[in-house]
Amino acid sequence: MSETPAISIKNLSFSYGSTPVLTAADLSIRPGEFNYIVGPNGGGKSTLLKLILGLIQPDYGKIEVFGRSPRSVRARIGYTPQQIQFDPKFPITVKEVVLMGRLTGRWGRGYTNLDIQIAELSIEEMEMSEFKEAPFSELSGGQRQRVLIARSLAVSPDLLLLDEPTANLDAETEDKLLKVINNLKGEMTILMVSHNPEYVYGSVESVICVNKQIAVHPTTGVTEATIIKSFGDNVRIINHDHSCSITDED
Amino acid sequence: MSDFLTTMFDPSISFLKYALIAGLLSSFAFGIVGTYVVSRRISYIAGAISHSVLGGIGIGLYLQVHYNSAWFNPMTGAFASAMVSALIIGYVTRHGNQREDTVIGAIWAIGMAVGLLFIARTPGYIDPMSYLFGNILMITQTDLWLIAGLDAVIVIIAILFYNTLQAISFDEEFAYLRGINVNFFFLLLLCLTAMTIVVLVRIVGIVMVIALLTLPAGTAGILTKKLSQMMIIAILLCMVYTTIGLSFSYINDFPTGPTIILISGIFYILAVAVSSWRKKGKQF
Repeated sequence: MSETPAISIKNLSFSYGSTPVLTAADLSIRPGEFNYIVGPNGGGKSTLLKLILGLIQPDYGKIEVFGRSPRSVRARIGYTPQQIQFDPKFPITVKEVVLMGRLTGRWGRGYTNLDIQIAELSIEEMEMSEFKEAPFSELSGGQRQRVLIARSLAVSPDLLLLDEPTANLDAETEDKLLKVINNLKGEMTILMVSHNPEYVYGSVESVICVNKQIAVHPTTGVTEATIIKSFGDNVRIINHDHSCSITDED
Repeated sequence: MSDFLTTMFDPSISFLKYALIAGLLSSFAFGIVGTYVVSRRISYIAGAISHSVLGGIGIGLYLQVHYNSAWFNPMTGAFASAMVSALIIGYVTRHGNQREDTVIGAIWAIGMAVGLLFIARTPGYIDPMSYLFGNILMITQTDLWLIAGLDAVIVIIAILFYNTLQAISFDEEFAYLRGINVNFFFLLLLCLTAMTIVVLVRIVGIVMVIALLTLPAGTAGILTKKLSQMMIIAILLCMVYTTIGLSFSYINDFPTGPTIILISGIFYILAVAVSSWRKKGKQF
């Protein structure tokens, strides 16, 4: 008997009004895989995550998460959005943000001791224990991203979706955060949108290129030519002195 | 000051005692709901709801005088119009394809226009000023029970659904993914705001209710970065403002509502100034 895929997308199309975002897309991800999603701005990366989360519905095609509709398994999904969506002045502490991962739809349910314990473990895993009582508004960009990932981990997810967790971070902070995310490999299925596909090639199973359509490449097969093909012509390769190559959109 | 205290403790004079109790009791509603209004950034929605209340009050007065209506009086009219406005704004925000700010502005202005037209057509002299600016000294014992009842409802909901309301106010999308009915809780928040406004219009009036919903909570937001603490500080500040405002206005024969608002405003400006000064000190 074949294993139920973590994510199964068949012939999926989605458009915002008359603007097509994804067309006839197919994708299958096995449980436990760690995959990267790359592609140009407006190519449909974040839309793909929202479809997998069931926040928006496809025009055509089918999405299944662990063999069921996204909406019915949303409690098993941890999601870290781009931090730009938050009110930076909202009065909330790090621990309270992470505890949100333990919320359920049950009316009037408070947080249990187990919820608090899981939240604190998630904070610890993201190396943020010393800030757990700190206001979320007073953290740096990188620290906030760690907290939001800790919130997703507090869900105890089977599937973790990360939407550009390293966007707007300096190189050093980005590197540190990616190392922490890499440590989660094997514990759950991970799908991470990135503007920079260079960093974790060594540990991801495959790179999913999204630009209206979906193309999956094993990491060994991703070359500069593949990236240029996926991103289109507006990509240049920058060769650094320390002999790494970075794709960049014009 | 001694005049104020003598009147306050005179057993034969109740209006000042009632006013003080009303101020202290309403501080709970203002502190808790105001904190959500400020942190969820829905003060414009609260403003529209409070101004639309005049429409219900006008219709209530008209029916009461013309048709001797016992059940539809200014208070029930205010309640109905506040709830209808809250639900319309809530629906448009969620599902409508109209601009949210246009709808808020329309409800704000139409509510007031309806109220003033009905008041103009109501026989006898009715002073719209008492509804627009309130009069805490006219509070009756029945009003006190009403405010206490409202406080009880708000405190129970605030405690029972604290985590949920905090989550939908901070990150609605994530709350939805955790199985929370975000539309329902957003409407619940608007209905709580509407209820608070209706009862508290008696104290500071339609025009200034928004100030007591936002200024104490805004000041509390400068003093703390935690939602629950913000609520407690806002309640305490509101108690201080209404007590000082009441005594100051009584001693100097000023209108009470505007005095309370002015004191709240001064404290808020001071808090902003001190906070900005301290931040500047850290930068240089």
